[in-house]
Amino acid sequence: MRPEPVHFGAHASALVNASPVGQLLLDRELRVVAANPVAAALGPLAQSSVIGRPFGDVVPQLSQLGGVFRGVFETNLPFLNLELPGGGPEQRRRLIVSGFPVTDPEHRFVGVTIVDLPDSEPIDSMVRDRDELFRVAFERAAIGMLVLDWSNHGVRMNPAAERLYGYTPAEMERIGIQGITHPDDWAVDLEQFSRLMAGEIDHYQLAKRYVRKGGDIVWGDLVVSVARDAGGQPKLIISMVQDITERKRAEAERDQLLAERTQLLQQAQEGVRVRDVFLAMAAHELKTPLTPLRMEIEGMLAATQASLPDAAAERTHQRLSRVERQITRLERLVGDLLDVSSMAAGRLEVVRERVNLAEVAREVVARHHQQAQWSGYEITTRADAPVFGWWDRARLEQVATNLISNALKFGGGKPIEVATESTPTLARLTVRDHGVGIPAELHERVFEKFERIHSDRKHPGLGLGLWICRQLVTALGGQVRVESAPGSGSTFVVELPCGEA
Amino acid sequence: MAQVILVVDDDADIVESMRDFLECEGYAVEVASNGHDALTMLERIGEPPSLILIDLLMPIMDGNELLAELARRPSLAAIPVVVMSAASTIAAPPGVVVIQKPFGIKALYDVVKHACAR
Repeated sequence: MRPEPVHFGAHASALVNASPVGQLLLDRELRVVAANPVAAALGPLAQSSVIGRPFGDVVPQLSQLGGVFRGVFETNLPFLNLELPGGGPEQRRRLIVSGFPVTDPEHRFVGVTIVDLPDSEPIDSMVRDRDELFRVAFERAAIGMLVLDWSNHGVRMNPAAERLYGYTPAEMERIGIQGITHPDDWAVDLEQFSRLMAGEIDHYQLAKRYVRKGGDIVWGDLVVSVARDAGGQPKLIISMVQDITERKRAEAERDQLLAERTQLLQQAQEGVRVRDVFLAMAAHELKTPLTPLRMEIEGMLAATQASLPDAAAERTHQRLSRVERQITRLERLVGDLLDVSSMAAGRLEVVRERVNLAEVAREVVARHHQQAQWSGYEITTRADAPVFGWWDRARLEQVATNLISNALKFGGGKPIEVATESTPTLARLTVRDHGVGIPAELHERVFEKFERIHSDRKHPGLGLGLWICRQLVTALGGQVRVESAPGSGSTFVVELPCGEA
Repeated sequence: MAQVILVVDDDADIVESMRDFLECEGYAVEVASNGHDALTMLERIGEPPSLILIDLLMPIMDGNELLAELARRPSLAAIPVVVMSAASTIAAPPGVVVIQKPFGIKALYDVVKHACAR
C-alpha cells in the first residue's frame, strides 16, 4: 500500500528555508523562481535579489549544468548526485547536485538540491598550484602563524595559532597583540617591534608568555618579520609562534631542582665550616684544663721520684705514671681534633729541624710498650741505623704514634714490626701488622677523614689518625700508602725525601 | 677467702687502676684484655668469680659477644656481670647492670658490693 501523501501546507516554506541542503526552483528559462538561504549563500548575490536571475548568476558553480536542467524538462526524469568542484575562493569544496521535475496544475519547474561538501579530498589532489600549496601549508602548519595587515589591522591566523591563543581572527582584531601578551613581557616585545618597524632589524625572536582566551598562560617562541610595500612602508607583519610551554615547564622544574641542590650544597658546606669552627673551639677549651693537669702531674712525679725506693712512694709513683699516660692520651686526642680543623682550613704549619727518624720510631714504640704488652702484642723494632732528614720532629712522632696505635688496634694480637731505612734520596718508615688486613678497594679510603672501615664495637676511634698521617706526610713532601690484603695483615709505608730542604 | 673479681678491658691503665683500688677493698682481682682472654682465664681459674666487670668496646671479642658466650655456658651464666660503658650510643643488652665511664672509686665500690651481694 502506498502511504498517504503528506500535505506540508504552510509549513513547506519553513521546511525549505531551514534546510541545510541548498534548494532552488527553476523555470523553463532556467531562471530562479525560489532559492533557500543555503543555496543563495553559495553564490555572490543576496537572497533578496536572486528571484528571476539566471541560475548561473545565482550559483555560478552550476553554470555548466544548463543542458542537464533542460534535459529534465524534456524527459521528465531526475538526475541524482552529480558531483561538481565547489569553485569560489576555497577551491577544495565539492557540490553534490540533484535535479528533478516539479509540477503543479499550471506550471512545470526543475527542483535542484545542492549539498555542499567541505574538504574531503586527499591532499595531493588538492594542491593544484602554488597559491594552493601556500594556503595548505598555512592551514596545516604545526607552528602558529599570524599575519597582520598593517594598513587595516586585519588579522589572518592559521588553525595552529587559533589553538595557541584560543581566539578567532575576528576576536584578535578586537583585542590586539597587547591583549594576548602577558603584562610582564609586553615592554620587551614592544621595544623589539618598534625597532623592527623602524627598519633597525629585519626580524626579532622572543620567548614570551601569552594569555590565552580564558586566562591560561602559554609560552611561545615568537619570530616576527615585516613585509614592506614598494614605498618601503610596512604592509604585513608576519608572526610565527611555537608553543614552548612544556619545554618551559621542564626548564623551570630543572632550575628548581638545581636551586635546591645548590642550596643543599651550601648548607653542607656551611655545616662543614661550622663543624670545623666547633672542633677548633672544642679543642681549645679542652686543652686549657690539660695544661695545669700536665704541670701538676709532672711536679708530683718529680716529688715521688725523690722519695724512691720507698715502697709507698713506689706505689704512688706508679699511679701518677698512669695519670701522666692518660693525660698524654687526652692531649693526643685533643690535638687530633685541633689538627682536623686547622688542616681542613689549610693551616698546617711544619717546623723543620734535623731529625733522626730511627730514633723517633724507637721512642714511639717504647711509649707503647705497656699497652702492647697488656694487649698481648710483641713489637719488633728494626731501626738501628740513623736516618736523618730535615723534618718536623713533633709531626713525625704523631705519624709514628698513629700508625703504631692502629697496628695495636687492628693487629689481632699478632706480632708487629716497625722498621726504618734509608736510600740516598728517601727515608722510609714501615709499620707492619698481621691482623685482619684491608681489601684493595679500601686502600685509599682508609686515609679519608672520619673513615672507619672496621666495626665500632671492636675498634672504636675518631677515624682521624690515618687522615692526619697523610696530611702531615704530604706537608713534609712525602707519601704514605698501605700494602694489604684481607687476612694477611697491613703494612703502612711512609716515604720522606731526606735531602736538606 | 677473698672474693674474686674478673676485670675485662683493653686499656692497660684502666685495668691496673681498678686492680689497685679493688685490691685495697680486699678483693682478689683477675684481669683480661678482651672477651677471648676472659674466657680463657675463666677456664683456667676453674672456680667462677663473684663478679665480672666488662668493657663493651674491645678488639677480638667485644663485651656483647662475651656476654653472649657467658650466657651460653651453664657453668658461667649465673655469674653476676657489670658492664663498663663510655658510649651512650652503643647499648648493653637489657637487664645488664651498667656503670658509666668515667666513674669514681665510690661508684665502683657501690656497684661491686651490690653485685657481689646478690
